[in-house]
Formats: sequence, structure tokens, C-alpha cells
Amino acid sequence: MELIRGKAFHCGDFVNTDVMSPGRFEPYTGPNHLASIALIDYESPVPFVQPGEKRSEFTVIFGGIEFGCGSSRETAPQALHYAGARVVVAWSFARIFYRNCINMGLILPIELKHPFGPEVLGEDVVVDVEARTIDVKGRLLAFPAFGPVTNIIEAGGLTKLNQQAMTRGATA
Amino acid sequence: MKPQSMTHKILARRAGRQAVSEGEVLDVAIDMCFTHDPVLEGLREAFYESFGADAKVWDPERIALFQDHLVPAKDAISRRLAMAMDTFAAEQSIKAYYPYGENYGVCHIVMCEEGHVLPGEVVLGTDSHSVTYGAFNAFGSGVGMIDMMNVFATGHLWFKVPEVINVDIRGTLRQGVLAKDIILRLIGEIGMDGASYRTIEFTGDTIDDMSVEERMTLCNMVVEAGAKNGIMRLSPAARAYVEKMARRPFEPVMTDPGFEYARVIRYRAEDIEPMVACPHSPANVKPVSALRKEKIQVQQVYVGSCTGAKFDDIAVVARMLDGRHIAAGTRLMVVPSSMQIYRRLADGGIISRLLSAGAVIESPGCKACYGAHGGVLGDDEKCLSTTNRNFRGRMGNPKSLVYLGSPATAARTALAGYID
Repeated sequence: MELIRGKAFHCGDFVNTDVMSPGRFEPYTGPNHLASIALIDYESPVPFVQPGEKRSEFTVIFGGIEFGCGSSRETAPQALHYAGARVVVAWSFARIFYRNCINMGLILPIELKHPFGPEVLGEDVVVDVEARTIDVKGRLLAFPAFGPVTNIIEAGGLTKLNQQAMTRGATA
Repeated sequence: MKPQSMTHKILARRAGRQAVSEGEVLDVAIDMCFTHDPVLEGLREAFYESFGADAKVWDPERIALFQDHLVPAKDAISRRLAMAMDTFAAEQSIKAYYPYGENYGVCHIVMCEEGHVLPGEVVLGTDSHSVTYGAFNAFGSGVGMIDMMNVFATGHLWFKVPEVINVDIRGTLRQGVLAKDIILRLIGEIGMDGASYRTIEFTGDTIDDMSVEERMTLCNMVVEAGAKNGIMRLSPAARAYVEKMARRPFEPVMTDPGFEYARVIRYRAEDIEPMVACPHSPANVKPVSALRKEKIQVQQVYVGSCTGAKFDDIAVVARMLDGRHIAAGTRLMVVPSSMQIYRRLADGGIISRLLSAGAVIESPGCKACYGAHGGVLGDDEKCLSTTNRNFRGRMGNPKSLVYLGSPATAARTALAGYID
């Protein structure tokens, strides 16, 4: 697996799916639209996506406790993904958001009690999924294996895993 | 065999196991599931793309479809989502379909009303408030679109076996104190991650004696503490409710004596007082007795959603308003959560009483609760709402302020014009 490189964004605790992809934008979807509203109601010194833009300059989000709490809406991880995020490193995740990340295969959710605060914003980050390390400007953090959901991540999401199983079933 | 909780027994039964252990991942067969209008169009496209243009769902009898979030259509795209649902229901022969019309309503309420939720079963929805079904001794949990698309194809989904928090409540609630006050107090105490990945199992005579709808309110909001599901043993009232409409025979489950809970929280019902969650978190909870002194003026009182617009919720509001008129400068919006409830309110004269007090009755649906349409607040406006979330922007405007309270608190606030 290739290395994931990009700049860091920082979030606090309890970042909810309402601020990631607010209900007031329903029923509008599509990659460009979702990218433009990613984290739009989250209050931060620097917006995740600049107003009027469809891409974020940030690839790795460092979050706190219960990242992704609230609604089950899949537009939340989709919005982050379409804006260009690839990894969220959080102290803990809300379970539906975590499931969506793993099963959709769009965002890699890494649960880790990382030491970073707001000062990490804009730092260069390299995530090595195979070696399970996160390099923030030379500071190397190790993250644990994904355990029972590893096979879903490796397949590229739950749908791909089920497709593989169905194909095996059909040819068996 | 290690003692099992009722949640564990349901998961074990549907994973073909005698017993399960916390933390293990199971492949679980699903008894009943649903999706709704904001999700179905995308799910339908992905379903045919992933599993073939002629793919069929695993069992059309175990899928329900609802129009509740974007009805009546606010624009052409919303209507297109409803039409995609018409198409999918026909293509897949799904009979449990509740489009905008005489039998529609908010998904969780109609799921229960129509007998789709049965004790001892695994019930999933593409909506986080699917935890409501624990009121009927079912394992109810919310999942995302891709999870549900895979359930539609296979009838199975993976689940990690949760640890269980026991919330035990004994005694009699004081006059004017409702289930909403209990759940707000709990979320305020344990926080938005207090039950993360865990089950909240409610026990005690207060729970056994509670009305069915009040049990639903308690389970509905466990997700605001991060819980995977909320559950209760079947009470006589809940049994009578499900037996009326049950579509299959069912087998309730009980927690084994000696089961080890991860945590036990005990309340005396008499100690619970009316509570309100202040902006912008359902865990930012304060007693109404303290807020009353601040005279927090509200421009809107909203009685709606899967949490706070069932028959009893609205009947409480009408009873407390009776003979009086709401305060000048305050709007009272009442959105019954289903057409069945709407009809019962009309037949019982409750709608007339609300109208006399100055309320506006809107058609059923998710509406202002999640901010997509109907009842959006202006900048700096405040709303006391019987709904479930008050995150920044939740009700459609990030510059507005939402306070969550019980239907009784909503009625008092509408009369006073400030949180009371």
C-alpha cells in the first residue's frame, strides 16, 4: 500500500456529522457539492475548505473524543473524502461514523490517543498503513492493527468484500 | 455458560450461537430493516451497480421504505428522491412502503405502529435513532447507507458484541417529569461518549410501569450518549402494543441473573426534575429550575420528531396549554410524528385545543428537527424543542440556538415565552 502524504487539520472533541454535512443542504449531493460543505459548520481558526472552494488543503484530520457523533448520514465521510481527506486520527470514534468509514472504504479511521493539539495544523504528515505509523514532521507514532475489520479494509470496503464472497460462492 | 445480557442473547440467536463474548465480531442475520428518502436513491444506484442490474434484495418482506425527511417535497430534487423510492418498491416487490399520503410518518414511529418491530429481533435502519426499538425488547441500531445496501443484498451484517451499561430506575416520577427529563439527565451525566459502542439496558419498576411511548423516548436518545442500542425487558404494556400488530410470532429475551454489567447507574425517580440541554450539545444539560431564573426568551417552540411528537407527547402539551394562549412573540409548531397519530389527535379533539391556544399544526415528517425544511430559525433566534439534537446548525441555521426539553417543558415555555 502506498504512503499517504499531506497536511494536517486539527479538530476538538465531539465533532458531529451535522457540522460535517449539515441537513440544511439536503437533498443536494454530488462530489463537488459535498466537498464544498465539508465541515462547514465546524468553528475553527482556518476552515477545512475555503469558502467557494471544492478541495481542502488538508489530508489528515487529527480529532479528539467521539469523532463523527450524531446522525448516520453517509454524506459526512463522503464530504471529507471528496474534499480530499484520506485519514482521520482520533482519540475515539462514534460507532456509526466508524462503520461508515470502514465499510465505505473512503476514509481510514485510526483510533489513537495522539498528543497533538491545534499547533499540528498545516504540518506535513506521512501515514504508512502497512507499517502502521504516522510521521508528523519527524515525530513517529505507531498505531494498532485494525483487528477484526482488517479484512474489510484490505478488500476496500464491505461491498467489495461481499462481492468477492459472492463470486467465490458462484464459482465454488 | 457465562451469563448473557438480553442484547447478547439476541445477537447470539441471529449469529447461530449459544452464547457470545464482549468484543468479538459476529456475522448477524437481520430480522427487519428500513431506509428512507434521503438515502434510498443513492442506495438504489449503488445496489444495482454493485450487485448487477437485475439484482434482487434478499427478502422483500423484511425491508420497509419510508418518506419522512423531505416530504412534502420542498423542491424537484426532493420529489425525485420520492419517485426513486416508488420505482425501487415496485422493482423489488417491497410491500411495507409508506410514501407521503394517508399512512406515512416518521420512520421509527411507523415501524413500531405497523408491527415491524418485534421483541427479540434484530432491527436496523439507516438512521441513528433506530435505537428506539429497544423499547420493545428488540436490538435496534442505526447504520449507514453502504451497510444497509449490503444488508439488502445479503441479509447479514457484522457487529461487535457490546459491553452493557445498566441504568436502573425505581420509584414514581414527580408530576410534570417525563422520560425526556430522565434521558437528558443521563446524557448530561455520562456525556456524549458515556455509552460509546456500548448498550444501555434500562431496568427497574419505573421502566416496567412506564407508558410504551415514554419507553420509546428513553431508548430513542441513547445514541446521544454514543450507545449502540438501548434495551428494556418487555413490559405488559409493550407486549399488548406489539401483539396488536405483530407480523410474526416473537420470543422476548431477559438478561441472565449474575450478568456482569460494565457499569451500573441508579436513579430514584423522585429525584429527577425537568431538564433542558442548552446549546450546542445534548450533554450540556441544566435543570429547568436553574434556567427559569435566567428568563431565556424563545421565539419558537417546536414539538416534533421521532423523539417528541408521539400521541402522549402532544396530548401532554395540549393538556398543559388548555384554556390559555401562548405568549406573544412565540411561535408554537406542532408536527405529529405520523398520520395515525395525527388522526387520533384530531378524533380526540386535541388538535382543536392546540389551535385554540395559538399553535400551528404542520404535516408529519422530520422537518425542522434536522434543518432541511420547515421551521428554520433566524439569526440569534432561540428555540425550545422536543427533538433530540441541538448541535450548531442542526435546525438549519448555525447562528441560531436550540434548547432540548420535554413536551411539558415545551408547553410551559410556550405559555411563558421563556424557558420555564
